[in-house]
Amino acid sequence: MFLEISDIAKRFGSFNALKGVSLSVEPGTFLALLGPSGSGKTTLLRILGGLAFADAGSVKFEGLDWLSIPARERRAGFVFQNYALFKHMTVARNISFGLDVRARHERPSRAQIDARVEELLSLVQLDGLGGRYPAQLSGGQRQRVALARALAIAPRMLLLDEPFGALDAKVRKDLRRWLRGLHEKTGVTTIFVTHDQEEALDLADQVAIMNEGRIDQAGTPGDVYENPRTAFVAEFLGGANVLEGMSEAGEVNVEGHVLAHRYSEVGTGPVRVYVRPHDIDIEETERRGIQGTVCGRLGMGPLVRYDIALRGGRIIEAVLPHGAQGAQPGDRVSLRPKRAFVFPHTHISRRLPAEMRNVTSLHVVKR
Amino acid sequence: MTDLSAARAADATADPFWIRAGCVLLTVSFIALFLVVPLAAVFTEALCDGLGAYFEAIIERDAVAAIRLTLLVAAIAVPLNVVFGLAAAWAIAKFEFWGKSFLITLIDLPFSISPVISGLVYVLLFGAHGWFGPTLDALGIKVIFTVSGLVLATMLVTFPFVARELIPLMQEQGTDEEAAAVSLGASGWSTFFRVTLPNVKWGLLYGVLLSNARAMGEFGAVSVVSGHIRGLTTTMPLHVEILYNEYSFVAAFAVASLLALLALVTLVLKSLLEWQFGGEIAATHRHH
Repeated sequence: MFLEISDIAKRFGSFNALKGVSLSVEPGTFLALLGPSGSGKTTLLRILGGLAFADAGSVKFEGLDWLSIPARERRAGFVFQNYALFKHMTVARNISFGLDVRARHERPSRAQIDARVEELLSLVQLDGLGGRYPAQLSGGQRQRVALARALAIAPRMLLLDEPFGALDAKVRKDLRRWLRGLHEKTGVTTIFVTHDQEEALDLADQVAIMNEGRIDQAGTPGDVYENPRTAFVAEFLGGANVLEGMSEAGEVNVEGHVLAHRYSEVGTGPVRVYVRPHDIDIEETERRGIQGTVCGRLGMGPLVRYDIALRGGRIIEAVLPHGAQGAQPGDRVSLRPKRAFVFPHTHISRRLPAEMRNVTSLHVVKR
Repeated sequence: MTDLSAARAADATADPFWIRAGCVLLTVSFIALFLVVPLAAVFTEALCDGLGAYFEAIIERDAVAAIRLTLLVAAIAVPLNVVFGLAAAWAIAKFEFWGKSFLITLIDLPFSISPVISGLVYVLLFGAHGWFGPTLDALGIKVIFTVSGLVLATMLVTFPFVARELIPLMQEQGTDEEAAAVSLGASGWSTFFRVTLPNVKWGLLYGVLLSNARAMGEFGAVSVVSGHIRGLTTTMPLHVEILYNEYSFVAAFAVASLLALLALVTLVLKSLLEWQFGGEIAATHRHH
């Protein structure tokens, strides 16, 4: 395996930042470490970059004991959240820094370094800005200087800490597309940290979802989205509604409605049911389904968002295509989840046994 | 209608005219009374017998010795202070360790104790009847009433200046740039000389100017350890005192005017730097 992270643990005082993280990464992968703040994703990234030390565990990189290599010899291109550009150096000197500090016998000639800087400036689309200082650049430009600086050392892997965190929405979207293109061009194995699920699912080949110092699930964006393996993943991705239910003999009962699929693997007892807003059908009859009252309706272009109050007072969000439903605020409706993820209540945010995967999600056959 | 126009005229952040004028007047008259008038008095007194007498007092043998000694003490104490200040600021700003706030308090100590005490501790330590005095005496090393004593006392009094300038600056700048440098393959020295030092160079220069001014002007601490041996262990401030006590007012004020000039030069240098490199100084303080 190219990059093999095994049982990495890290503790800050009494806080367990990482509780045994293992992950395999293929060469050339664009991997997102996705999770809420405090989940340990940045700590893991800093350990890979040599900026923090693991208390336990190992990392193998192309057969090397990665953690025993000093940070300055790892050639891991690290891009900081605030870019950490050298304020007193021009853009060109920032980019050439990694070459300038090499020992004399390893250092390319001045002309070679200058040529490399020009090449990188054009790669990150900053031609002609080599003479500027970081303070004279916009946020997006600084971000690209930081990337060029990291690429200058021909990094063995690229580590990006919240690469779009400090940018506004428009720039963020442009840069995201651009970064994806850059990755295809350079082919450098890239690991980036983000708390934005849309960013992770949109950009990465592989997503590792982190929760409280562990990786809950890793896989392709499609796989983690379609088959969440833990309650945490189900709730974190896709903004799922959470409902309380009871499971008995494989039947899951939610608010007086029996889900169409049988969930024999969750056993008997209280369960949590996760339903994504666009996995809900609304009917204006009160025959079957979960009963509720429309309390809000918001048109969002091609989609319409409904807020529906259940009898217990819980508000459920449903998103339907425009024109699919005529229900108005005040109407009584019944909800039917087309797809739900069910987890035993006691297992909340804990890993389920592997054999429970896949079966916990279902597609209800069309009415 | 009149209320409205009055409200419009008065900017929310601007105080009435008389308050602003009053503050300016108070500040200016305070500065005039306590700074400008005494400074003018020093130069008038020094020049009251003409330029000839002034220069005679300055080139007098003991005066020249005092000037040379003052420069020597500053030339030893200030560079050592720079090394100490950088090391202390680096340790405090870039690392977490137990007892850090206590260390910061200790660095401030010379600011809060009387300089006389700073001098006295060296007499207690290295004096003829001090803790280490007899031992050092046996080895032929003399500290008290020698130039080494003057340097030690000056260092103790001036050591917070550089550290105090650098600690807040380095703390504000954090460690990200250093981390970036290391991840790009820079060694510790390389990181320090290419990243850390350039980022604090203006703060460092301020610290050097201030500690230099203090080192040359220090009176209390050096007075205790000097022994007032004319032409040998008297720095400029001590020489001024001796002359004054001998009623040689013109000579006393002539040497004093050199010290005052030194203070003025320091201020002008500082202002020049701020004016010339204002943008860059602000940039090294700024966060991205």
